[in-house]
Amino acid sequence: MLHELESEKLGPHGPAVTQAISSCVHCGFCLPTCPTYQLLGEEENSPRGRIFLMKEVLEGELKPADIADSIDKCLGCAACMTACPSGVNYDQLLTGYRHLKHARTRTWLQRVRDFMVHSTLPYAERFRWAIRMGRLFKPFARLVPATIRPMLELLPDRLPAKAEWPSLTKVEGRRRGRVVLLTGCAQDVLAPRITKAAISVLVRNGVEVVIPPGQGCCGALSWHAGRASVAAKMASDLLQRIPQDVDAVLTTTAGCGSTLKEYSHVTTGTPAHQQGIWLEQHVKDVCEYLDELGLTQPAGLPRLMRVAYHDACHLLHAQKVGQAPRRLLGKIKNLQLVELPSAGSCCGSAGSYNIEQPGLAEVLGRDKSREILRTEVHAVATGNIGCMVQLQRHLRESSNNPPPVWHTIEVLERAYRPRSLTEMDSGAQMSPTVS
Amino acid sequence: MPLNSPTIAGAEFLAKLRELYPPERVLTKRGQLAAYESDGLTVFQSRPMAVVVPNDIEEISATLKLCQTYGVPYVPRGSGTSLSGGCVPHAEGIVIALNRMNRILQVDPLQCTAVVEPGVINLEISKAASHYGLYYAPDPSSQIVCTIGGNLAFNAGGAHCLKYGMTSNHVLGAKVVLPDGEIVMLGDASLEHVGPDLMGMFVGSEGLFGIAVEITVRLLPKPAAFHTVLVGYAGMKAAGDAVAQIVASGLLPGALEIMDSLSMEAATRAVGVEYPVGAKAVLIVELDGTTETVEIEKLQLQRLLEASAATATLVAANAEQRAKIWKGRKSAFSAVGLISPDFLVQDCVVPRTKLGQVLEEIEQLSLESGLRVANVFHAGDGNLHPLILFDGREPGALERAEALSAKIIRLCIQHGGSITGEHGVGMEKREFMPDLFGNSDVEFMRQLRRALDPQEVSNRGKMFPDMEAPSLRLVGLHPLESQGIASRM
Amino acid sequence: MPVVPACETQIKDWAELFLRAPAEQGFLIQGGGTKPAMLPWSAGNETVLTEEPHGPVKASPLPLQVIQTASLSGIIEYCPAEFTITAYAGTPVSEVLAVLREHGQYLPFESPYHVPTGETIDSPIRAEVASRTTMGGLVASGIHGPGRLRHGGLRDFVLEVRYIDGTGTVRRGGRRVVKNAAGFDIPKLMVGSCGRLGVIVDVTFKVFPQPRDYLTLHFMSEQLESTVEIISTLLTHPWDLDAIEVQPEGSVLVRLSGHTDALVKHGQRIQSRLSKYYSSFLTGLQQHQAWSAYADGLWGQNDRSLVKVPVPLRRIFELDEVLEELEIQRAYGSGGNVAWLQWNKVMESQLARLKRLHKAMLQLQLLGHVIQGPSLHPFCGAAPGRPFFERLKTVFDPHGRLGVF
Ligand SMILES: Cc1cc2nc3c(=O)[nH]c(=O)nc-3n(C[C@H](O)[C@H](O)[C@H](O)COP(=O)(O)OP(=O)(O)OC[C@H]3O[C@@H](n4cnc5c(N)ncnc54)[C@H](O)[C@@H]3O)c2cc1C
Ligand SMILES: Cc1cc2nc3c(=O)[nH]c(=O)nc-3n(C[C@H](O)[C@H](O)[C@H](O)COP(=O)(O)OP(=O)(O)OC[C@H]3O[C@@H](n4cnc5c(N)ncnc54)[C@H](O)[C@@H]3O)c2cc1C
Ligand code: SF4
Ligand code: SF4
Repeated sequence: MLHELESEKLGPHGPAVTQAISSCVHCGFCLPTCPTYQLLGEEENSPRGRIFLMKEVLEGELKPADIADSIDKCLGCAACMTACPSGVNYDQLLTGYRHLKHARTRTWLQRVRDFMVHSTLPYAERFRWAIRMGRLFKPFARLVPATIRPMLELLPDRLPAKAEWPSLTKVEGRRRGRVVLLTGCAQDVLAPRITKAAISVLVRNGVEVVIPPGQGCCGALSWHAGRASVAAKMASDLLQRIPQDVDAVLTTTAGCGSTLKEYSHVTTGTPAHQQGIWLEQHVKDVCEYLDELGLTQPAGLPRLMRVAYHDACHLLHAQKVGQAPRRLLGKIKNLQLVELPSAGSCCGSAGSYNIEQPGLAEVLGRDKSREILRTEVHAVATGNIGCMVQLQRHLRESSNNPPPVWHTIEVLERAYRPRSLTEMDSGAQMSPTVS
Repeated sequence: MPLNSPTIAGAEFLAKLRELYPPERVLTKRGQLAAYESDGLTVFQSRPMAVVVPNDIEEISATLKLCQTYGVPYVPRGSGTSLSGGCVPHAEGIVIALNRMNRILQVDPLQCTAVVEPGVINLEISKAASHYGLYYAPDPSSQIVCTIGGNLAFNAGGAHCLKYGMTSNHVLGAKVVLPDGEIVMLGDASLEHVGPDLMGMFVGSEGLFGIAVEITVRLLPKPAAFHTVLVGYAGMKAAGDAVAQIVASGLLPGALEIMDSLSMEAATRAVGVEYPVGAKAVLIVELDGTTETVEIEKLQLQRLLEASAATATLVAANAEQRAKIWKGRKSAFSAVGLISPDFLVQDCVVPRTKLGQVLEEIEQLSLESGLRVANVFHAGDGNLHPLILFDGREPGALERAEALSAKIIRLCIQHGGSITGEHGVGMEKREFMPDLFGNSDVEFMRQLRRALDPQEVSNRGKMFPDMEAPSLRLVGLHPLESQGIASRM
Repeated sequence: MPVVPACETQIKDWAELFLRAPAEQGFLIQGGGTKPAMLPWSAGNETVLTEEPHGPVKASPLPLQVIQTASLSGIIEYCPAEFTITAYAGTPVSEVLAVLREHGQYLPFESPYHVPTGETIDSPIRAEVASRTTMGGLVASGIHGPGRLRHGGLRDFVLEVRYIDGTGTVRRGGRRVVKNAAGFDIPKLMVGSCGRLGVIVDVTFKVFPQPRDYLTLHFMSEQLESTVEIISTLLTHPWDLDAIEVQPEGSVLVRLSGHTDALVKHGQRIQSRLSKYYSSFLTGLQQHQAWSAYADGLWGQNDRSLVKVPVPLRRIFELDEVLEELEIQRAYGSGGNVAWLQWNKVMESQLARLKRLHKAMLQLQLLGHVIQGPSLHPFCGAAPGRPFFERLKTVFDPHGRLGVF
């Protein structure tokens, strides 16, 4: 698309932003994959529309407030990038735009909520505390203003005990690899069982696992929200703690993974830049790593189980990891992998979206969960904690006997467990809750 | 300021519009309107007064009546992938966005038809029908995004229209809202018609005759067998000659497409398709039909290709390889964005026997102008798509590209061809209509339009050469253009 | 094969005639004159009114000017490699078909009169009529043969039409290239226009290579339900069938075309898929005779009324019931997409039957085209697209000199 932008004047994000705009040919191939466009059918809520609008703001034709609604509605799911034949890096454009312009036209309540999200979610302790407080409020959710209510509704009923991780887990027998495993911030509070499963599966396959103590947030949430300096600070802190004598740095959280894979960008202009580049080259999603390494141990379930795989946007679209988890699941004996008709389309949880845009997230979550119920699967596997929370909640709302939602690595872990048949039968025992 | 140009009548009209639609389906904010400024051809931009998003036929009919009463121009819009400025808004008018009317109302496997709303995406019809082994044949490269309403308005073609025909050959009937709001039924679900072919006349009318709101299309059984071949040639002429030979032999392939080296480069970068090394042009030939027929025609084709100047022949061994070849072909347009900062897409037709010659002349024009021209097109029916590559930041480059584009169109007219094979006239080629049809016949067509729409509110400013363009904001307006000498791509 | 100067002069003269004549002067365009039922003016002085929604067919206030296009004859351009042919409107269709055949090409929608399985027409009535019918009449009547099913109808193959409009201006619609998206598709509107929109003076068709060989399967079927089931099965499978025609007595003729070697195998596959129904292979002379007999039944009967009614396959049951009641014989063509209605004057006057049919068709919301029969009006039944047409008509023929619909 022709534009009148001067890259130099846009600061460090200039090249990425102008590159994205000029490579967009306005062909609209991204439209059908965009969840907000599917729902609303409006150009301003399509990727093509947003790119055009951001260009207009950057050129000075429109004011940031004119398009704030459209930008806020964007899930940041990056489905548009997968669809684009012209290689437009929408993610970088959006992040760059948010850094440069995004003036949120928000009410004070929305601002309070924003503040709450950004000052709790990334900090495990604060988050834990907030959940406790929030739970006290839950019975009063109806009285809470609509903008804050979604946060409360997402709160789990009970929190798992705080997990303590061994800083090193060695393997028995031949060592095939050595990795750092990131535990994630919110995930560590909500579902430490994912990390537990990951350690177990990795070790079983001959991979030594290092878990650096005192890991904080990777900065993903702040980065996507356009809070570059906060993100950079978090990234630097994290990088200080990661030893480099490993084959790879693994994450089980797709949302973190996609930001970690942009760390050279996140750490630009900070002393941690070199480390950022190193990390970007070494970071992998746990499924991606295992798929490349190959499973040594055969895995199997005691009886046939139908499992739907749901692509986390930040895994499929942002990291292009779609086949690896499917291949891993496909290797499990007695597991029948079910493709959802809307595979690749967002469940409404992308990033902190379900908190920021409750209305749309609601519809997306509901549609996705109904579709899952129609396929009559025994369980759902996915690669991101956000999706797990979102799907679980909507499945529960739509069904009395919802299938459990697991992280892909948990399914693998289960397939390694010796189990009696009776145990497999009992849905209650099988079904974990995120909380 | 919600209004683009708030006249008194405009304000009254808007108020009436708001009575018809709930607030969330009348868009008037600047940020909302700006998104509708242009279609696939971004050099034309114009911001509408409002955008409405109707849910049903009655809303459309009421909207059109209102537009007539107030003389407010409207533009129906599908997915906005028009490459001729077909759905560029009128600054004093509204856009009717049909994207929420995207229900597939019926798939009838007994008589092989489907009834769909206009906002249904082309490929979705095939998806819905695939359960019955059926599909909707017209396959524009944009089929994953363009709507059936837009296809109908432009009589969209596709790679397979050589054998299967264009949109018009597959649309059997449509419920149509005429520009004055009256609802009529043209055609029906039968393949046959009697009396003047009204459905045929409506297809390709670019929204000037009204809005198609419920469309009955024909479905075909998916061919039993395909044989897809990618053939490399040392030059465009050799590839063009091969096409002429294949056509003349009496073989009727499903598709005959040519890509030149630039478009191959783009497709390789976009979707990783690999082409024969060193080939300056590739020909994609696809035979389809019953297994028995394809088996026989395969050998015929092989003999023809051997006799041609082919440098390499690659046969798709399975469905995956076939899909890959088509993916490369279909993403080529957008992918050119990867090899050039800017480009213009041209769409014109020449008699098939003149293909080789015209391609050479285009190459000559490209050399003279110093601009690269990529070519990826429906060779089987002589429908060229030269893509003129330029860098918009270079002063004067856009103008040179436009001048070259205009020369190419004239070249095609000289050779007895047409100014558009499938992208329509839209805004972009209005000025060339008299060259093709002569002033008198163009005026006659305009009278036909006025017979249905005396105030010319439906898609005003499209198809017919106007004294003035409807308040366009153009990127780099060119003096040649206002004189009607050059056209914008 | 150049433009014939005499023809061009003739065209100019006709245009002059229109220009000079008073506004209320009625014109009547006649090609081969084989289908008087379609003519726009009534023969006598009386106004013959049809029931709504069709306009009255009336006598011209002034003596009619008859335009006989037969004098406008000759092929203007034919380039076999381009697969297009252009001919003057008065050119006999047989002449064009013969020229195409020489080059192994044909009009894929086919002639209802010239059965493609053989070269000559062996029925005297069909042969006589076939020698008269013209290219202009072909477009204006919009009638074609069973080949419509596979590749498309007449309307899908007309690329360009030159015509004189009701004011005497010579115009061209479309262009002589196989693909063209510029301007309105006037050639399509001319298909089936029955002389009401202008005098067609020349026409360009896209043509296809003629298949090498044919094979016909003859399916027996007693019930309409099973007939429809046979048709639907045939339509939903990728068998590339040339034609599916249901004969008045109920059996189904299915024609395949292509390479001789492939045909039998292909035919057997279809047979085995439809093994529920008894079928036989027809080849050679037998095949030709079967199709000739079918054509004779419809087109070789001078004394009968013949009405063409497009109908979707699903609605055949409804229509059939009504026709049974009206004692009208019918065949279903183009893969169950059209009904051919026939009756003679044994029981009541042909006109009375037509009037009853008209009422029934109105109820069914179907439109029929009277091709042969009492010259009342060329259409019967409902005409839902009429408002659209009428407005266009005011531009083609502002004074209504070419008759109404
Ligand atoms: C990458 C790319 C590849 C393409 N490839 C092809 C190709 O191979 N073949 C081809 O033919 N085209 C192609 N096109 C052009 C374009 O996709 C087609 O013209 C398509 O038919 C437009 O559909 P749309 O839904 O985007 O319509 P829009 O662009 O929204 O509208 C097109 C026109 O139709 C009118 N319109 C829309 N809906 C209706 C309706 N319901 N009733 C009446 N009028 C209506 C609009 O007013 C406008 O004039 C391509 C475009 C792109 C960007
Ligand atoms: C390939 C093919 C072959 C065919 N072969 C035959 C055949 O052999 N015999 C046969 O009877 N039918 C044949 N038909 C059907 C034929 O097209 C119609 O029967 C046609 O009406 C007969 O043409 P005509 O010249 O006798 O027309 P007429 O009976 O003279 O006229 C029929 C109608 O067309 C109008 N009309 C005629 N010429 C023009 C013109 N130049 N401009 C405008 N309007 C005009 C008349 O006003 C009238 O309304 C064939 C059809 C096809 C597709
Ligand atoms: S697909 Fe890519 S190039 Fe096309 S409109 Fe979307 S972002 Fe732009
Ligand atoms: S990131 Fe997701 S929601 Fe945002 S524009 Fe792209 S596809 Fe749409």
